Amino acid sequence: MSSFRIKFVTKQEKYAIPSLPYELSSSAGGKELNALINAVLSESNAEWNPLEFDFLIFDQLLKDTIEEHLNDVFAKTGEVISSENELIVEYIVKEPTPEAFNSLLNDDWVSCIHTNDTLIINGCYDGLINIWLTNGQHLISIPAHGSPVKDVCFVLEQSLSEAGIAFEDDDYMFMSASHDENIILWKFNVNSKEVDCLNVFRGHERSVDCIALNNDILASGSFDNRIKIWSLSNKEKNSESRDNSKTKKKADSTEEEMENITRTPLFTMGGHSEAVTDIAWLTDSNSNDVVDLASCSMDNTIRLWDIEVGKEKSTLSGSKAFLAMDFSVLNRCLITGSCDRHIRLWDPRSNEGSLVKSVFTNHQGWVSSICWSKTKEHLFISGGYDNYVKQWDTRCQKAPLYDLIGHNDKVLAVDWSNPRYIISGASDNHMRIFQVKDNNE
Amino acid sequence: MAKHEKSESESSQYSDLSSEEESDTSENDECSEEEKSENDFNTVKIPESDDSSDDNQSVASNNEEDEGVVEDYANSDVEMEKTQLTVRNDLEPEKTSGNIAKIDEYEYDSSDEEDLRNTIGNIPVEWYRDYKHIGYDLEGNKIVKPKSKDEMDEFLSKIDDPYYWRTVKDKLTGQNVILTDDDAELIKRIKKAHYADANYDPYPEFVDFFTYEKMIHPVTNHPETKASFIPSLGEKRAISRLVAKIKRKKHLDLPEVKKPKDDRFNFHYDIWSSENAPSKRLLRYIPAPKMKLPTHAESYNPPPEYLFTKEEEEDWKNTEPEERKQDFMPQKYQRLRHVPLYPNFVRERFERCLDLYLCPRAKKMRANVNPEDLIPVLPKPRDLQPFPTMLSLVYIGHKAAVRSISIEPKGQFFISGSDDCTVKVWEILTGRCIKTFTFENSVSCVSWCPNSEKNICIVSVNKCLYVINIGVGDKIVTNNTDNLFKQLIHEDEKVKDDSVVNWQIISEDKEEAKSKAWKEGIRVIIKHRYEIKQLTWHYGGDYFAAVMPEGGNKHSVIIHQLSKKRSSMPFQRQKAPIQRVLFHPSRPFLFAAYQRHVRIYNLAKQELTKKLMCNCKNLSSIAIHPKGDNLIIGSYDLRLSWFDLDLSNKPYKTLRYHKKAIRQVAFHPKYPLFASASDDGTVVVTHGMVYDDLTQNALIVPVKVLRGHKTIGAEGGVLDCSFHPLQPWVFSAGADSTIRLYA
Repeated sequence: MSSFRIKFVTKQEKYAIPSLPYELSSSAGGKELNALINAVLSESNAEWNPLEFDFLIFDQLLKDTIEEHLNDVFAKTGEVISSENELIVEYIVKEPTPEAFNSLLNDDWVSCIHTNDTLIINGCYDGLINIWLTNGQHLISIPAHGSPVKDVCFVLEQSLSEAGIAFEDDDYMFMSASHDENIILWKFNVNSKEVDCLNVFRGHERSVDCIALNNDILASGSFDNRIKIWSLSNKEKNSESRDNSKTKKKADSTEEEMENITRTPLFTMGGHSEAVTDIAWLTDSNSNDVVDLASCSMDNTIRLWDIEVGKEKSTLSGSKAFLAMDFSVLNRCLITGSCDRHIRLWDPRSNEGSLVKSVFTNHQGWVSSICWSKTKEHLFISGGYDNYVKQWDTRCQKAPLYDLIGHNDKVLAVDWSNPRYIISGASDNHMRIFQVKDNNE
Repeated sequence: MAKHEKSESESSQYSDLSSEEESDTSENDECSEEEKSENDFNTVKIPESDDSSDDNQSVASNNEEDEGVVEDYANSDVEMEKTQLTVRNDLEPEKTSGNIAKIDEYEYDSSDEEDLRNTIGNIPVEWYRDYKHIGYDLEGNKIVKPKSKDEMDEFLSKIDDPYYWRTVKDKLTGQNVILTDDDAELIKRIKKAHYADANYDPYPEFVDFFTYEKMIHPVTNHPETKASFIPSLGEKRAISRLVAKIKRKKHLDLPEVKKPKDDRFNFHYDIWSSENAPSKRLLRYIPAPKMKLPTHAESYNPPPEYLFTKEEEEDWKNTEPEERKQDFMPQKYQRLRHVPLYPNFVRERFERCLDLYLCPRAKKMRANVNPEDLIPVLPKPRDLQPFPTMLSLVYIGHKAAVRSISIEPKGQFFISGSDDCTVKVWEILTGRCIKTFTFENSVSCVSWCPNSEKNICIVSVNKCLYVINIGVGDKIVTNNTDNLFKQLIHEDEKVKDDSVVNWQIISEDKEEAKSKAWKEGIRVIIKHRYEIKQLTWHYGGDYFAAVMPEGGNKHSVIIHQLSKKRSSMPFQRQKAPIQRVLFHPSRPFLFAAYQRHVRIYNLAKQELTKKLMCNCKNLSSIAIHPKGDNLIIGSYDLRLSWFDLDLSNKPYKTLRYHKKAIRQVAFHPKYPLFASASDDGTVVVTHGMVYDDLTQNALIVPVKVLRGHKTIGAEGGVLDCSFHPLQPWVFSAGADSTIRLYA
């Protein structure tokens, strides 16, 4: 049994310890290191409350003993680590355990969820959209569609103002896509609990499975293999629709109304040979330029689209049909769930070598939904057909950080748009909310 | 021919050699001829005879006695007269053949004796050209040249002389010699490359000195030498030297066998090589087992411990002869001569002979084959991906066995028909049941229209066939489909009331019951006389066939045309009930599966094209490769047969991996896969690659056994299976009321 000289570093200043090397046995694991750090910290600070830390060695999260960890890391590169060198171990405060916060019963399967700071919306298979407060209070059920709702999405206020849509402070805008081939833009007032259908986006030939918003540009993917780009802004459209209404004076008032609110796509992009299952904007937090669009499909490909030209830019090929995808603004990586047990991390910027940066395998069924953390670049959650929601760290492929248990059937949707809540919906009609504490607080 | 002319000669050779005229040689020759001829007669006693027989006699007699010579001489004299006469007539009468030798050369001739009549030695005769003589005889006298003829004489003699053709000039004597008939014969024989002696027998009777017959007295009878028994001392030394070297492990400098430099030019064919090899009969010979050698017990005077005590003897006598350890009792005799005749001798010999000839001593020829070599080399399943590997989704909702499933051509939904009288529409990706249709009776078969421009499903419930607008997917397509059905009503209002088939078209606005059916999506009800077991679509999506095995000869298969509301019965007389039918994916062929065979009918020509013999007793299912050249057939007797329609009407391959009856077989429309569902609760996925190259046979590799369904009762495992049209996924419908998706 060998021993290592270990030097501890941290990026979190308040937990910094003197940079002295420590001699540790290679069979030491996270527990021993934890005890050591806590002991050192308590020496310097008398009022120290013991904290749990995670340890990063060579940018990989330590799960078992140091020796095994090093073996795993170096099995990939083929190098041999000598015990002579100083081993640098970075320690971070352990991610707090998400706590089961609430479980909300719906009338039917929950197929899609989206949250913002105050509200949760979910779409169900009976065509209803439910709106809840984050504390679990049910606000309203909207009989939005005649067929299952496949995706819901909040519209940011900023993009609304850009689009020239009038709204008040209590108004929330969101969109929903459904099997009935329509995408609808809704306005909801929290105080009056009034719901308005503002626009209906028609054009897809099969069920619309995914929508994504970037400012006032909406992208939607459908089972008809096509991606359509829509504009939310009323400016040009309104005049047109008015003209149309003048010509059709004899038409039914409802029909006229429908005509008024119906929107058509700006353009359509075809390229996928099978259904488009998820779509994501590759937004850049720094620049407000036109950004690319990524779409994943059942034809085993992820395609990147240039929206300015309206053409395909590049293709990432996988081996299985993709079911879900998400893009993180923080680390600019794509993460996908597909019709197998694996979650794959892609780097859309790299052109050479293996496009899959890492594979996360712990689910026992298809991974149906996936979502990045909006605040921490290494964290994401996934929901699978094995009834589990799992929280992952990209630096640890072996095992998830936490298994979030609770659902009794296939998890269909997960959402972490509000950093404080992990929300999951499943085919057991339940929507479960897990609270995530911020360890910096 | 040796020359033996003895001529008279002048005094000294030397003077002749020095002083001789050159010009008168011819005359001189003639003179000398005359003289010589006289001399000849004087000196030479032996006459010339033309008669060969005489000549022979003379030779023979010459050898024997002097008297004979005399006689011959007299005899030949007479003969000489004759020849001289004839010659004289032809040549010059005065000089009677003066130039012609008269001596039989053979008299002197013997091969080992040089002709010494002329002593000039071995010099060219031309040297004597200028002299009158040619050399000297034994006595030293000059041999005078006979007188030579001039050209004219030569010419005349050529014409006149009958012997001219056989006249030869002797160079040594200058005389002409008339060849005898014998000589002429001799020359002729030599010319013909015969033996010179006519009497020579080249093949005389061979008298062998050493005969194969054994004579009383051998040719040599001396005994072998003593030395031949003693090893040679030299050899012994050489050997011991070699042995010593071997012991010391030294190189033996034996003479090297030279190898031929280039094998290409050194062909050695051992044409008897096969003869030297020991015959096969000898190679296969196995020596007979030897008899056991006698031991002390068998001795006539065995040591006392071998002799039986009284108890042993009693024992021996009481045991059965077959069970005895020894089949004899050791006995002691004082002397060998006291030993009596062995009574069992003849019997034992006989038994031994029986043993030898009744027990076949033959080598068993066992083929030493590694059993693994017999297995054909198949690619590993891992290399044949993608294919379904694991259970991914379970569709729960039915309350009884699911009989039939059918997938939407676009791959978003599928329908299932169950024994609980319902048909359900499911979303594939989530396992969500979208719609449920309830009927009065259990659903036996469902089928989704292969044409994606129509949203039609057909469902068979007992004797009824429902055509349903399923109402999911593209709304435009759904509307178009409804319009299609509305047209049906407008085109032909009256309802045909056929005794066999009854079309009932449901319209939107009629009685309440019907409008309810319309709302549900049911558009057409076709009532049949018999229970429908199977439904299948034509690839165009307008025709579909219903199979009713109970329908007997005429009505077992009915083909309906939706757009014209027409039904036809393609088979007028069928001997056996049809179990399944199938349309060819691209050509106007109809496959009709009977219990034991499949018939292929050409619908365009209205004739039987082919009959496939399936080698099974009870056929259950049939599926065709999307390219249309290969067919698989599943049967209740566990077999799955692959037919190559171009190859043969017998199975190209028969697979038997199910433990119970096969219920359904299916091809993947896109990937080279096919699956078979069985009552044992498994679905076996097999890689079935068909190559465009006609010379290459299909590659069939079973890749995965998919388990998951519970078996219920005697018949109830997996009842139906079907592939996803786009993904390498397989659906299975089980008797355990679930539908499972393997991806």
